[in-house]
Amino acid sequence: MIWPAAESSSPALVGLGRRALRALGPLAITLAVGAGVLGLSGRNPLTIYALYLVQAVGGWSRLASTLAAATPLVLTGVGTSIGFRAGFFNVGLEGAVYVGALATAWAGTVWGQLPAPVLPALALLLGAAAGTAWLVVPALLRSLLAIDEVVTTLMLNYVGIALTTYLVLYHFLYKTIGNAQTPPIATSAQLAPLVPGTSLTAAAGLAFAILIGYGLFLRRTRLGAEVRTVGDNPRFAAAMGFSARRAAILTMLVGGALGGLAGGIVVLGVTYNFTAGFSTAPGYGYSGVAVAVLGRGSWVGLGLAALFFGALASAGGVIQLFGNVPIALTQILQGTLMIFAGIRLVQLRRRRRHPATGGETDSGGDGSWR
Amino acid sequence: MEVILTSGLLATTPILLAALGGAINRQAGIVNIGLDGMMLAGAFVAVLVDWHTHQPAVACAAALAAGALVGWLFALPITRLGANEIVAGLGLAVFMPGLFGYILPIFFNQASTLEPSGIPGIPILRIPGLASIPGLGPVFFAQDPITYFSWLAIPLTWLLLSRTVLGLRLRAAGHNPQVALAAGLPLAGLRELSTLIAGLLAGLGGAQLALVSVQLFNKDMTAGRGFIALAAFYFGRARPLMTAVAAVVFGIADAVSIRLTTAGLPDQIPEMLPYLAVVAALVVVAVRRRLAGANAAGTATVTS
Repeated sequence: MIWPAAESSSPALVGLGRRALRALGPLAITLAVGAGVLGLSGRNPLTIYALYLVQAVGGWSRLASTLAAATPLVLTGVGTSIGFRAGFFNVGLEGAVYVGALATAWAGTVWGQLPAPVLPALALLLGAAAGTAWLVVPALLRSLLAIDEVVTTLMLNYVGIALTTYLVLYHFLYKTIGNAQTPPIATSAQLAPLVPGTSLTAAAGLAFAILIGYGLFLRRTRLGAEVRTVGDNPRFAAAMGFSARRAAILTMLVGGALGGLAGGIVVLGVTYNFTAGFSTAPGYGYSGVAVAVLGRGSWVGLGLAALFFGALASAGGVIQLFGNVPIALTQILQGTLMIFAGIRLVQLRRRRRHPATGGETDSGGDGSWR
Repeated sequence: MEVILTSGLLATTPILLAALGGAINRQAGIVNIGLDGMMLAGAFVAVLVDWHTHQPAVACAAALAAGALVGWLFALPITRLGANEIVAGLGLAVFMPGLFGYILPIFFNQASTLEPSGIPGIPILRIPGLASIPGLGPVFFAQDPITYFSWLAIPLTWLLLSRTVLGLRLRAAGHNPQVALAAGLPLAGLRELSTLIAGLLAGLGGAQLALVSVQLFNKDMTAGRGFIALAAFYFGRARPLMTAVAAVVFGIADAVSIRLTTAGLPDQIPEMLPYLAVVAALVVVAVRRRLAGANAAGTATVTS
């Protein structure tokens, strides 16, 4: 699985230190790969990295941009991570982001008469609901038929992207522009920027509140303990009468809701419409998977990983203007970070995957590896 | 119909090659989501080498090597450092277009497309006699050499997996790692080799994409074909024949969707087909297994 089981039971301080070390490995490799690419193309890596740093955290407005870019990633990171904690590899948030964003954009346009605080709230709720609905099928297939959720959620992402593109082009098209996008949402649906010139909105507060809520849920609630036990020790969970089925459905649907919410927040606070394929590479949902893997399940780790990804995205957007490097450098860094996100430089005992929900985790053969 | 079949088979080739590679990879224990990136590497190197040598055959060899190299490098973090194959595969799909998006402006002064003028393409090879059979002849026997090879690769893959010692070892690495380890097999090495083979085939698919109908490279030219290949080997449960059947069906759907686009009709519906087909296939298999289990045991085999 993603994180070794031993981690959650090790003493807090040792665990934290170890986790920090593990997270630094992928970062160091990413920076090294980036430096190699820059060096080979005749750029000074230190100069470029310094530029990234300045553009990511140099001054209030750049900090606000980083925070804004991290906001949807906090949500998709938490949404993916909660599945990981229960032992389910839900990579379906990308699809949920798309359907959630379209639903939110629809509500923000059609319910335009509603006043300011009500409309965004309702539109986001609808987005979250759409995201939840999007993952009902894989959640049920996982819990009832033990069908590998990695495959179904991954496949449905491509369906979601194509489906929303179709819906925009043939049903919700903003004909005045001609691009594959919906009409702009009503002004009363827009989330106002907290720092002028950036996309930092109240949504950031909501996202970080949800992040803290995630930490509290896992540590302080009975249901959270149940979810963790199902993930860490399926046999013990079964003996305690904890339902792996319930954990599967709960965590995957919460993941869908958070994916939908992330998509909705981007629509109400950044793009003000739904544009086909708006979640460009690596994609909010897929970035969330990387954030969840890098964050190693803890809410602090998730927050830091989302901020780092957000910093890369916000600084990467302007690096071309100042650094004489192609914007694609950011994609190289993001891709490398994803490739190495889960590495364990210190090998630990590998955990077998989840026998409690049925044996079939594998669609190509009969193996039980992942 | 004839036109759709011909263009469908042409569109099938990169998907089929990558899917067979993915199936071998899968049998050896790695789900390869990075096929698209390996295909892209093959396409780029094919155009680059063809440009400088004017030898399409050399270009194909270089594309094979490039795909294999990317495949092998991609396997290392997974087999040696415990990286998660799913996230790593998604990462490679971000990394490779990023890499070419970086290289093209710096070294070739192009934003996203490399189109050297007057480079030779891979020629269509009409099989004498057979190609003039009315109806089917032009469809099946007037294709490019890589397409012929991709058909040959179906029985070859089956032979490799089912009838060779290497195939047995690869499958052991995937299906029964504990036994493979106990038997002293190099688990990581076998998985790396299988990923290298997947990269090799995907890279060749990239060469076909870049040098048959067009002679150019674009950093987005694979357009998700590696993911359709993923759907194909999932649908075929990593068995060569079923994987190939799925690849052909999805390839024809791909050709149809391109025609729909030009006709101004929604191409998103056939686009969804491969992915929905995989989910449907998994449900059928799971339900069947459950029914078989219920019959065998006399009771439902519901766990948890």
